[in-house]
Amino acid sequence: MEHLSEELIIEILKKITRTSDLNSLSLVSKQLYTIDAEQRAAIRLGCGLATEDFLALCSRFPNLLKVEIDYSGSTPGNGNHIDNQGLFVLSSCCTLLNDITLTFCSKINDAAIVCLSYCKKLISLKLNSLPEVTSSGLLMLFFGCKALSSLFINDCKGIAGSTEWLEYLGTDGSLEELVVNNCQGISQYDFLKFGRGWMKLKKFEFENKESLWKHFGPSHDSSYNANCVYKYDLCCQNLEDLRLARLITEPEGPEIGLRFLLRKCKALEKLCKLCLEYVNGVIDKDMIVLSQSCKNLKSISF
Amino acid sequence: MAAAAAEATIDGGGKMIILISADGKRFEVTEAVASQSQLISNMIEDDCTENGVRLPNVDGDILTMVVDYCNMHAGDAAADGDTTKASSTEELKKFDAELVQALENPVLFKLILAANFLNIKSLLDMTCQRVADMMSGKTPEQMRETFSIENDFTPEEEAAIRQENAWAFDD
Repeated sequence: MEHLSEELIIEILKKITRTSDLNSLSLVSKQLYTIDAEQRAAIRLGCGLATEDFLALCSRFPNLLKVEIDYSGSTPGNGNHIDNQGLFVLSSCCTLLNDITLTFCSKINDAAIVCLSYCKKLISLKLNSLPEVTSSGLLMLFFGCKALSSLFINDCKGIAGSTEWLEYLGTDGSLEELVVNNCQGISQYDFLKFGRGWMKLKKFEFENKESLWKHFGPSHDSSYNANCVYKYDLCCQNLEDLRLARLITEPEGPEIGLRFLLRKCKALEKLCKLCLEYVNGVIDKDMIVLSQSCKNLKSISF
Repeated sequence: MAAAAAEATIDGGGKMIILISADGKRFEVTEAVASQSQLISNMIEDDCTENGVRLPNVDGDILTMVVDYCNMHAGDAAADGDTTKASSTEELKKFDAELVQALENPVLFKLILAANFLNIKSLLDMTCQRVADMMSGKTPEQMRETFSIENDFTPEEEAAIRQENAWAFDD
């Protein structure tokens, strides 16, 4: 193997997909350690990593493209969790990152999220169960990450109140995928502020938080404000994949909410996947109009 | 004789050219077969193959394998849309698997070097994949043993890397 050039060793390394094999390889010799460190593109981290070890990891793999930090199944006391400083180190060492997933990182807040705006190439961001992150943190992040095309937010209760982040993303962003699930502070009416952003969107998912939803309970979405004028003149001609779950709308009356998407059928010609779960208020007419103009619809589920 | 062969043609095969290994062995192949090597393809375009192509860093036994491989795969590019291709794809897979699996490490590495020099991407991919597969599931010690690599880490350095590695886990 010593006769092979570095270029050929890289060719071989590119074909090794399992992290455990790459980890073993890094221990074989200094040459392989160095090549692996330069080539490693993705890393997944769990609990127990001290901040100083995290610093070492970030400087060891400067060319990472994808990082996933997942603390599900561990409590903050059960080992060290990455804090704001950790995320600062990550985003300043690994500026090529384009795909970041943070799950149950209990020690990070807006200060950390803002650091991610150093990652100018960020394309995909998944935020899972980060209670401290708020709307203003998100807004600051989006100012920096213009290339973001996929945003997934699940169970982030701190994102509430201001919809400025959605307005900004709609006006200046390039989102193609937007998934918001189980966030009690984000209502279906907030997405009307997404404005022009709907035009580029290919995939949209919205699901209300389960605890707010009682199947035999409310007949009314409390986030609806009768004094507010909602504008539904939005275009969504590129939407291909739509999922709405646990929504309450009015069959007849002003509380249309995200049900408006079904009435935009003409613009929804490309729609090929539709999923509606517990969406109150959908009437036959919605479905008839939808079925008539969505010629490409391949999958539908309720 | 070389010149005569270079001018010769066979049915549907086009012009013949001669490849000459480091130890002087000569291989007569069609241009279509040889063109799978980007290097030779470029030489054919530039009309530099008339007196045979000398490959001073490829041994005869390695070149035998390369020529066998190219003969087997010559139909790849041309046979798109051919209805008989499905069966030959199976045959090719079997041939490829047998070719790399039988090789001892030093020979495998020589074949990688030859594929790289001759610029035959599919052969390079296949041989590199074989090395990657051989590393799969092995401990660092087993990898060193398999590929005769010397451990140049101090025990302290090795321990530090092991500690870092402990945090990066598979799916």
